[in-house]
Amino acid sequence: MDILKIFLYLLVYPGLLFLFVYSTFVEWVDRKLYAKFQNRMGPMHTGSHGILQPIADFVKLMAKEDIVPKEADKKLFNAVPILALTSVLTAGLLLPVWHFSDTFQSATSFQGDIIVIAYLLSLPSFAYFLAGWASASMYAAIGGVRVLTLLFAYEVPMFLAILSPAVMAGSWRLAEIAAYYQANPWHLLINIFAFAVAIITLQAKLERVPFDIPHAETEVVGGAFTEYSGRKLAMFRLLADIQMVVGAGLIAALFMGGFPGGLIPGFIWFIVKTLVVVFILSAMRAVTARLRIDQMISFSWKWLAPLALLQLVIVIFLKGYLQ
Amino acid sequence: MTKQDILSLLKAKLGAGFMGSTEPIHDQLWVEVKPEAVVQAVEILHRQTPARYLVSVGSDERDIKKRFAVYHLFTFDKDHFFITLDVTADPHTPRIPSITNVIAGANWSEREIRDLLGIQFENHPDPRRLILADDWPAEVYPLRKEFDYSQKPESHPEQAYKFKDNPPGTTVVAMGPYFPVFEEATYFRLYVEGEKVVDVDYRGFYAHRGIEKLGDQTLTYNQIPFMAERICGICGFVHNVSFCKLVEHAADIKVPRRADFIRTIMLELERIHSHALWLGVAGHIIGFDTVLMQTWRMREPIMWLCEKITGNRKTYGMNLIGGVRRDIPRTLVPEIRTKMNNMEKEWLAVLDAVKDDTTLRMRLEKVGILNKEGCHEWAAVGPVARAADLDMDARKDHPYCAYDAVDFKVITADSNDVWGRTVVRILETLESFKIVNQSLDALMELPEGDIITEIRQDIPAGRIAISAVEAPRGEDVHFLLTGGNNRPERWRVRCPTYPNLPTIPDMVRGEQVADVPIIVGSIDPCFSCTERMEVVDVDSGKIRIYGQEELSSWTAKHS
Repeated sequence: MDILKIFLYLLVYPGLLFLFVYSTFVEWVDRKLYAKFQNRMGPMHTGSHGILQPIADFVKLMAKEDIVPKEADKKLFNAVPILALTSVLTAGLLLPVWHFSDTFQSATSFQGDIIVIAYLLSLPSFAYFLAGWASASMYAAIGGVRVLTLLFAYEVPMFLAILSPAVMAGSWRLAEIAAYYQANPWHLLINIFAFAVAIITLQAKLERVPFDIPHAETEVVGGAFTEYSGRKLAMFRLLADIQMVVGAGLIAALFMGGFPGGLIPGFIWFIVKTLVVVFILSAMRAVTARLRIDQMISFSWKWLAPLALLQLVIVIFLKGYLQ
Repeated sequence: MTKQDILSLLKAKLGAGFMGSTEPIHDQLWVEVKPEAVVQAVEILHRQTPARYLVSVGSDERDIKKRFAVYHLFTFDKDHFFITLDVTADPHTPRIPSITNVIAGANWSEREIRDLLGIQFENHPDPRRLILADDWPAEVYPLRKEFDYSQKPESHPEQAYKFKDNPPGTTVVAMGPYFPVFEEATYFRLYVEGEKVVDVDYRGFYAHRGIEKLGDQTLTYNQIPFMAERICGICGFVHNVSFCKLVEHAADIKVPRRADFIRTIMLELERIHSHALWLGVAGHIIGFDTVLMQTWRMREPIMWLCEKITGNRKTYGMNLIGGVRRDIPRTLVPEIRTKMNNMEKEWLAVLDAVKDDTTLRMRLEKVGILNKEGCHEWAAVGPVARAADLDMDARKDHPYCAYDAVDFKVITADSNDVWGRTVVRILETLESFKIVNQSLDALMELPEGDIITEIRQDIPAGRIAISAVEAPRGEDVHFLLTGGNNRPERWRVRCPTYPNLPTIPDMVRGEQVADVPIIVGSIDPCFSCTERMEVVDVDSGKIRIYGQEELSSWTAKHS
């Protein structure tokens, strides 16, 4: 029975199949919301209200000619998209969606999984950098360097922010952290600053406006993806969608009390809570202009990092007080 | 300063270099100077008087006056007249001193004259090719009269354009010739150190169409307005009005008042939709696509309105010399008013939203600085100059159409940066609503139908005219020397991007790569206006239309 459960976990929910389907759905939601903010309709033609458009885009890109530049480092160029996609898919498995019992530890839920998921979510950034490096293109090189610079700006505040709820809950395991807040829902309010920082840094990690600096088309064409086309570009786009789902899931698990109630209610909670996060991300994208990289760094270290630190201090004091 | 003051100043300073002066039309002063004295004359005008440099025009007058001529055009904005320095160059070995060392803004004009007419400018600081294609043969000058407009010279692919050398420690980032943010072909070669721009080089004029040459050789006065309108896809009406004004000025044709007001309305509608378009594009450049979507949505009713008035969204074909071709009937006035009021309301909301937007201000403030002195040096015009606190607007300084009868403010800002240019454009649009409404009032008073003056005589040859029309991007200057055969001897178009574009290197030096697109965008560049002038081969004149099937079969073959 456990074997079957693990296979289902890997392949169906929250594994490959679910992540693929749900991430395209989330992309559709994001596009629709963004369009609504702009008085547009967004995708309308494929499926009901264009709901199948992201899948159509994916299939179309998969069928397109896949060009590898002559000057590129071919092995690296080809390997990078797969590497990055794999890392976010693995990260998806670590989400505590199926509510494994708090005591039973498995390959997908263990002490310290919060650290692992955070690192797995960071791997694509290194992959983008390598992609830019391997492309042998000026725009890709600038994009790649910007990816890393951006990473240095948001990574520390992000880690500090996601550690606060863990410190409060006294655990390094996502399932246990979620369980703690399900038991003490009011404690969620304590982490309000960390929540804000986590949302903003997630937007930066996803490289969306106002933090789409590494692939700002009006400045550096396509950034690290300039030379990518066809299948590999499709993989990058899919991975960005999955990263959004996993990132939203991580925030939901840490700051919104996770997904209680077993399979079906847990599934519904997952959809509802991740969509709330996606809504915030879309709104942020619609109401801001892109920052410059130096502005992003100073914003990050002047505001986000101190705010996350303040949160950590608050959590530590409160924890002492509450015990 | 009056014309008399200028004349006596020039006479006293130049001595024998001053050859004489005339006043061809009431708002013009024409001064002939000897080639040796031209640099000094320009220095006096540029440094000691409030004169503002416009453009230099070269002209091949070997047939009529046995000479090449170069005209340096200046304007006295606050005294409402133009002054032209007329310099003669030898018909066989044309050579005159360059004025670029005095006025940086003359750089392009002189290179253009050199490329197209073969007049050499001594001591020019940057004598590289400007207009002609890289493979155009040397010593072939397409604007000379003996060069037929349909002639196609041999290609010389071995010739290469020489870009500036890399400053030490820099790498090249190419923005162009095709780049996502520029709608047209242009090439900014950035020399960068990390994200910092150390220097920049420019190569453009990839889209010349030889429009001025066509004006000299095949088109007639009645056809040129339509060709002029095709100079630009956004501010075409401006060029159209500019040209009509030129001929009306030169031949002293009186335009019916109603036509003046109709032109004014169309010019302002064009400004409104152009500024809305610009704001959207600026938003897109800095990744704020919501601005793009919203402003373009607001712009759409204006485009429909234009179609209702003229039959077209753009390229209206409204003007002829002597007036306009279509009336705006009184029955349409209420609808125009409603649309204006609606858009004005929405535009105020835009102003409110933009004014306090943190990320917008972060990206636009203190970026792309060009101050008053820089503007004067480069002869920058339009919102770029007005954002540097220069109060200049052809609508006030050289009133044309019905601008003398409407009440509006010239908007200026003193921040010298991209933000200032944005604010100027947004507020200017509000003034445009006012102008349209006032013009509509006038239309209700004036009799319907009186919209064009019939021209009974030929346009006399040898007349000279200059017109300045305030385009959305800045002041558009046309110069005309009338000729025989019912067409100009020389027609020169100086669109607003022409003086504004060379200021870019000064604006981006020391800025970040990320700021370059918005800085270039902030002058509202219009490359097709700037690049009017290569000869296009029309071959035998036969037209063949390719159907969809033929085209698809081609695609199949090449894939």
